Amino acid sequence: MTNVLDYFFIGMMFFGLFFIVTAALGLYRFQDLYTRLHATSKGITFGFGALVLGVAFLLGGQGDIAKAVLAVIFQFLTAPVAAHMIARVALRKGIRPVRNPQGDLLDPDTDIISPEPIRRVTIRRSTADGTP
Amino acid sequence: MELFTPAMQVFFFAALTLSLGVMIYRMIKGPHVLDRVICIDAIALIVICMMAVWELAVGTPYFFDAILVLALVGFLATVALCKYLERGEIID
Repeated sequence: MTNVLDYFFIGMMFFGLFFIVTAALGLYRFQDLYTRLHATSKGITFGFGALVLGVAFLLGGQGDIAKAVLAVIFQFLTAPVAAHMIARVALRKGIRPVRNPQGDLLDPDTDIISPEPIRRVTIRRSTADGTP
Repeated sequence: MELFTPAMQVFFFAALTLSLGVMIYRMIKGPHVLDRVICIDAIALIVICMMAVWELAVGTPYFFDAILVLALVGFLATVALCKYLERGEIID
């Protein structure tokens, strides 16, 4: 009793697997913390959503579908928060992004890594007694 | 699940294991601590996906509780590590 929708859900699982493998390839291949964060925080989250929802709809119990939808909604809500926190810590610690990965094609003397440091972000917090 | 053939199971587990190996490589090699934090977040999600595929291969629907709990705990680990790296303390 294979339904037509089951083929659609199998395809959804393959779709999610493609996104996961692509994100892992980006994590392996990119050369910067910010680009690696970009690859994993979007690709793995979307692939996880597609794969787990496909499994839940294939197995078919209503409570299981509810649990899977809850897990996916929670992950979609919290993955941007986690990525934002990691990027904020990286920026405050002064990690430099790679500006031009292949160098300047017109000027062969340019360094691969951009020589100037990024501007440090200073955030003033006001305390209770007014001292910074 | 008769639609999820054993060849398909082997393909799914091979691809997920390859992704896990890449993340462990980046976790060992990663030049900064934050690379390892990214890898912790990603490894938690890969483990969840492997549990989902295993669940479909066996045919029991009992792993969704563990999927829900692991999705919560991975986020907590990332937030705690980021707060520790930023300020040197977790609870302020």
